[in-house]
Amino acid sequence: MKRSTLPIFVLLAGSLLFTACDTTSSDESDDLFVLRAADVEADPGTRDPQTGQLNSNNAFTLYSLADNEIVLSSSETDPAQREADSASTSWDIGFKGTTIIFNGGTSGPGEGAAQILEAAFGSVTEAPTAGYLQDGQNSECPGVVTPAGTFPGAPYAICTGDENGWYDYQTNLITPIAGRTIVLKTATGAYAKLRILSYYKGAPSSPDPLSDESRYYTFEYVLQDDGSTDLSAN
Amino acid sequence: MGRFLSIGIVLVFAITVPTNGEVVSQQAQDRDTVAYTAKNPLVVSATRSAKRLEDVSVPTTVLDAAMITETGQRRLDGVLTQIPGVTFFQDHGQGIQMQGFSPEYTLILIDGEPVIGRMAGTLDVSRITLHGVKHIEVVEGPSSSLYGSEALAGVVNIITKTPEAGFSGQLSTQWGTHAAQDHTFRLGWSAEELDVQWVVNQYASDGFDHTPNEFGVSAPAFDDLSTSLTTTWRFAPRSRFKVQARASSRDLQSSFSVRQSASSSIPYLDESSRQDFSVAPSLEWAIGSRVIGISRGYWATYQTDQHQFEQQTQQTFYQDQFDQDFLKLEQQLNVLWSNQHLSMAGVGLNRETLGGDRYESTLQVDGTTGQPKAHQWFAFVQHEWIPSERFELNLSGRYDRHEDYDPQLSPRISARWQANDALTLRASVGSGFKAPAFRQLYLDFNNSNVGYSVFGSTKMGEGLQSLLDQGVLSNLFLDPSNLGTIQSETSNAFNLGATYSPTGSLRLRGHLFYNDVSNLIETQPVAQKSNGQFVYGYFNLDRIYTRGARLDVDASRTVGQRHRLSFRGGYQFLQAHDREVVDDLRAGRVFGRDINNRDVELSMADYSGLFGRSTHHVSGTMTYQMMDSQQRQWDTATSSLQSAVAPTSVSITSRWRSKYGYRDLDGNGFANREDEFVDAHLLLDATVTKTFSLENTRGAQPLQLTLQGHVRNLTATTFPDTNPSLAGRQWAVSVSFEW
Repeated sequence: MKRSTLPIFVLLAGSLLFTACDTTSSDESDDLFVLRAADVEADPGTRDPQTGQLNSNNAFTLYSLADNEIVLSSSETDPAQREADSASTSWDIGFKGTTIIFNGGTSGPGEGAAQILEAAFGSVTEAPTAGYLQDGQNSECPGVVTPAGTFPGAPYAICTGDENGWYDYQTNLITPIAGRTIVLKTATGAYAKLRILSYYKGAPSSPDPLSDESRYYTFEYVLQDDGSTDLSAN
Repeated sequence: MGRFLSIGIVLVFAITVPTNGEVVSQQAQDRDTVAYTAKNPLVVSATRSAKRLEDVSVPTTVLDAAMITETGQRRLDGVLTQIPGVTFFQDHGQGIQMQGFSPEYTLILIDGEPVIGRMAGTLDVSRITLHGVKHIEVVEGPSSSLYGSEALAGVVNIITKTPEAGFSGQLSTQWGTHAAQDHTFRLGWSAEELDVQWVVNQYASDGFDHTPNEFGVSAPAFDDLSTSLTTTWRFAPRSRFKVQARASSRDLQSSFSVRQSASSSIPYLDESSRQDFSVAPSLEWAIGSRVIGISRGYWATYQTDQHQFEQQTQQTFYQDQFDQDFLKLEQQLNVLWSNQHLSMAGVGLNRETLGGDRYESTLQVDGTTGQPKAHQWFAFVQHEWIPSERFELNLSGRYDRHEDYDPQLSPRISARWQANDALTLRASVGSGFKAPAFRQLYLDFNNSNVGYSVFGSTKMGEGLQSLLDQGVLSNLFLDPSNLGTIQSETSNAFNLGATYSPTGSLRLRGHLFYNDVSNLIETQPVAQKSNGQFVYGYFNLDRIYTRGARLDVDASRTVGQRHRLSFRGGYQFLQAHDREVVDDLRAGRVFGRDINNRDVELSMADYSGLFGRSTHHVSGTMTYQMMDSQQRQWDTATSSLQSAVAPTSVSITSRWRSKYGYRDLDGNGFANREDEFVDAHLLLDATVTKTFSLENTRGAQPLQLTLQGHVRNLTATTFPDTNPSLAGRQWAVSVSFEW
């Protein structure tokens, strides 16, 4: 019994080596991976305990999907810096509270546009070629219900408000709606898909609106940078 | 042939017995002459006339006094959950779930008269004492064809005892963990023509708290006092006049806290009280030998008063008063055409009046306040055809007409076929209904803190108009002039069962059920106010089904002539599904999020059904009984399944249920993630009983002293967060003196 172990091992090692070489030579450049961005601040602030009014900078955080990093944080208050970054195509997606913007249309100079598909993130393997709207183009957004009354929905590509876009709002809790995948075009026109995992710092699995800090996005995305619509990820 | 004759006797007998189960005839007193054993007792709930249990064609379970005593139960909730598949359903009180339905779909009767007073649909069955109870009949599946509304999942009928001849009485007391106490005084007197029975019961507990470090209790402290007085006058053969009066009150003290932020919360106290009262006169008279007339009246009132206030400031947080007044008049006629044909017909009238903060409207057109008042009339018929001793067909139907919802027709057909001496098959198809609840018809509620409004269907038109006139509506979702009438929630159901009794000491019962329920009433926004809040109304929207299978086993074994071991229990498989969710799941439109918040598409395999329903239930009671050597011994030859209280017994009850959903965290409306379920668990209770008998000098009823020790929830299984009302291990001792 013991004698046979060695040849099998050699054989196994050889086959591993062979497959490894094979992968490197043909497929690696095409492989897409799910990238994750954690706790991206979206204009967090402190709430006045008496009035419930939020004290914040009222500014977007701008994010680059290609670099998987923040281009401009909502904490940056220098107007010149903010102006310069906003007017560039270095960012793809922006967050302020529950509002999400894309670098295009009324939001920026890029080709950014987006739509929501009613499908699980994993089952979106191909970006649609049509159906994208730029910020400012979406006339279909329903009214947004607030304690102060109902307001017309802002014409963002992803509508704001409870159940109108990416989240629902119940008992003071913002929860991403399962099965709503954002497919988007980046500032440079590349396709990507994105799912929001959490609106709360640390992405707790059952957040407590009283103790967990809100206005922090954790999301996952797949970016296709070869110009194709293929979004199937490993 | 002998058996066939005995059915005939039962039929003749049956028409002398009213639907409330009171056995009038002397035959019943003389138990040995008639073959009505505890194994096969006379039941009344299945057909509204007395019938032997094995002759009824709908699934019926009887919980007898011996079993109630030996398992140490004092309240209705504890004993009902010994039936496989019947579980607690905690929602504004201890309700019961039957065939997968929540408590508002089970009708609870005492001697055939409905117990009124439900909170959020739940009738708190712990209200009902088991002292003075002869047995409890549970009919599963719809019985609306005889009883009307609420008898959709089933009917529970509590049959009270007739006092023994002469003076009899009982003094009994139970003390236990959480200062739980249950004291009873019962006095009965029975003579040739007159029976009187008086029962007084006090039931109290200090409540308990699983989390003593946090403000707010897990179960409230309460003090419950109830009394009943029953008088029966047998003024002529097979005729009688009976009056049953009941009254009870409960005071309840609770506390809870409302979180304000991560670190602070506000403590509140809750003081509630409840009073209910009922009086039920009934008259039965024999018209010749083949006809019996039964006239019944029933008047019941129910009042609750709830006050919640901030502990420090004493400032009122919530206050609610509720009054219900129910009056019923009913005339029933039983006709025995021949040994093969028996008919019953009845008509009746209900009047209900509601009062209280949420119902006394100031919105009426003439500016007056008024209590909603509603009238309903109904008629029911039943025909039983028994062409042979082995076959029986039962047809029944009922028509209910109410002023504020559409009329309802509820038919049922059921059949029994005895294939051979051991095997009997039963099938029934019928429809059940539940009338719209008060709130769904008459609620007139404006929440002053948050600013939303809810209107019952009869209040919607004027409520919307009033809000329009005040100019506080910003958006109407439907045309107020186009509101349809609300309909009852209805079901079509079938039950198919078989009973197999190969020997006198073993009985197996198998049973399949399917309930197709439509028109379930849900709230829906009908308009939006300028403050951003909504106006809600009630509409017939949802459709569900519940289906399942049940197997019951009764078995006993005697060892020598003094020892007996018996088992009673079973298994239920249950699915309770929302049809819309099932459709969406099949179409791939339902998603969930895993523990890492990633979204996933869900399939039927992920569907756990409605909240609070376990797929699997197992329950069983094992009892060991020992007779004293000098006393009577088990009759091993004939009916060893027969229950009788033995001087010494040990009884262990176990209930196991698989996991059930209790919350939704990922937005799909049902439980699919592990942290959305309450884990599977087992609850064990045990009771030890020792009875000492002293022969009475008068030679009638012996004096009996019974000592009992109880432990409930032996394994101390608790779920402080997900099921706070489930208490940990509790001990109790009881002393009872009967004469």
